[in-house]
Amino acid sequence: MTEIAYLKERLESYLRARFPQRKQLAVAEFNRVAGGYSSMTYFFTASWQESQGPVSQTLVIRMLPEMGPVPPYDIRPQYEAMTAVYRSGLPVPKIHWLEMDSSVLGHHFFVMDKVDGEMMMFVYPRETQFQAQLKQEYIDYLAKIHALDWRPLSFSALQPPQSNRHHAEREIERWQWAMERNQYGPQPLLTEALVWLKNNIPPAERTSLCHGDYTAANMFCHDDHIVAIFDWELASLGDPISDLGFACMMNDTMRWGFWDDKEFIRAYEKASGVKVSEESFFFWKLLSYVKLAVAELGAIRTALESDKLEVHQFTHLVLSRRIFKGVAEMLGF
Amino acid sequence: MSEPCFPVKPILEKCAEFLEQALLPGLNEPLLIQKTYLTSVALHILANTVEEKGRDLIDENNGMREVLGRVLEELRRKDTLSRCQAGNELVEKLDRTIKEAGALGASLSEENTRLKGALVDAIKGLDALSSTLPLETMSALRRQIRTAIRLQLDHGLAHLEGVPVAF
Repeated sequence: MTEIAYLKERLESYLRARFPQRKQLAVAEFNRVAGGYSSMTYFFTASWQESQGPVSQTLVIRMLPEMGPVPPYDIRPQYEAMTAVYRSGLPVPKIHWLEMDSSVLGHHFFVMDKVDGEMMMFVYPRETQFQAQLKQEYIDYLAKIHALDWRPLSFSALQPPQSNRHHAEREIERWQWAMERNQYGPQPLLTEALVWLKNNIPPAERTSLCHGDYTAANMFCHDDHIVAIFDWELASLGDPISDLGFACMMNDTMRWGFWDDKEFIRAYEKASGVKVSEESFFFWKLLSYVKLAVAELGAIRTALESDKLEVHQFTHLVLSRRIFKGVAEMLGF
Repeated sequence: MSEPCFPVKPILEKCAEFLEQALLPGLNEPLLIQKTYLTSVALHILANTVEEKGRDLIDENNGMREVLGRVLEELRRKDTLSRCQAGNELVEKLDRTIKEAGALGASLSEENTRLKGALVDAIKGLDALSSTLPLETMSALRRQIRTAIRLQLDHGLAHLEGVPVAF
């Protein structure tokens, strides 16, 4: 029996036990979605009989990975962030439940709605007449996520920073640790960047819910509007400028050229009513380069250690060089 | 020496060309198209990495030896450091690594990895000593370290010039 067939069978038994009132419940079209750095995504269609007739629903499972570039993994921050943002009315798929019993499918997971659409990174260059609208939505949603009042939300996995430097310190520590774990050889460039970051932490002016991976690759568009913001696995409470740095770093690294940094910052300032400090932006953009570089090293290491090496993993070699170049250029050498 | 003795680069390029020009146009299955394309990308990467590696590694290793030698020289010159345990430890560590890096029998790659490890130690060690060393000395050493890192980066980038990134 293949792994997919085994998981499908396990899921079917689990759903039958969880929803005993749904008669003749069956799972069909259980498929893993390719790509992504760590969390695994599966689509499935559940169908059952109700008094009015047959019902079917296509849903998505987000599950922790077997091995990924930035462990340890915890699915709860992602769940808490997505649930809070969904309740605030922003375009995030509705999560139906969180399953913390890893005996069900082998890892913790949650089940959410499937949203139809296409990645913004593909839509934006093609739909030239809608670029201004998409760009505005992209920035408005970011400002709205940052404006969300997280204090009354009783997060437990998402912990607020203990000082105005704590978020940055926590991030540096996390990525330093991940770099040391992921490297397949000494990394002088990233070490130099991390030392610079450690010595130049800007104080955060506010604490917000941060997405952590806010890029056009994690937005789904439909009918020329953003309809879903995905991949919240790096969500945290911290300095919101971190998301601006990440968005602009990705725009440069992927050579999208959707906007330049100054234009992006100005639009964000207008949408949020908050002034963005140049020092903070520089710091967080550089840290974003380091984050992505470390994730790339992790992807390469995972590929080398895995018995399921995929050819597309070779492209991480190319991308990692491009990211390293970005780090060096930001540091001025 | 890791210089290849037969023309690996053109062979790999030919394989990639075959996939792109002869095989790909005849495929209909999306997954096969994707895998074939990505295999050609992997071959381009390999082709761009094999031949120049020996020369690059010699340059990189020389660059790192030079910088590490200067760091050692500076650290030994500072009287204040002779009374500082962290400074002494760094000097000993760098000295040992530089000597061991080129030990008889070590390949260029092994030497490169050891010297990079020493460079990482130097970066961290200098940061820990930043309050002990004069700002001017620190800046000069940092500049030299960054020059060595930049050389490695340029080699890496040159090997991957023109290789497409697929997602």
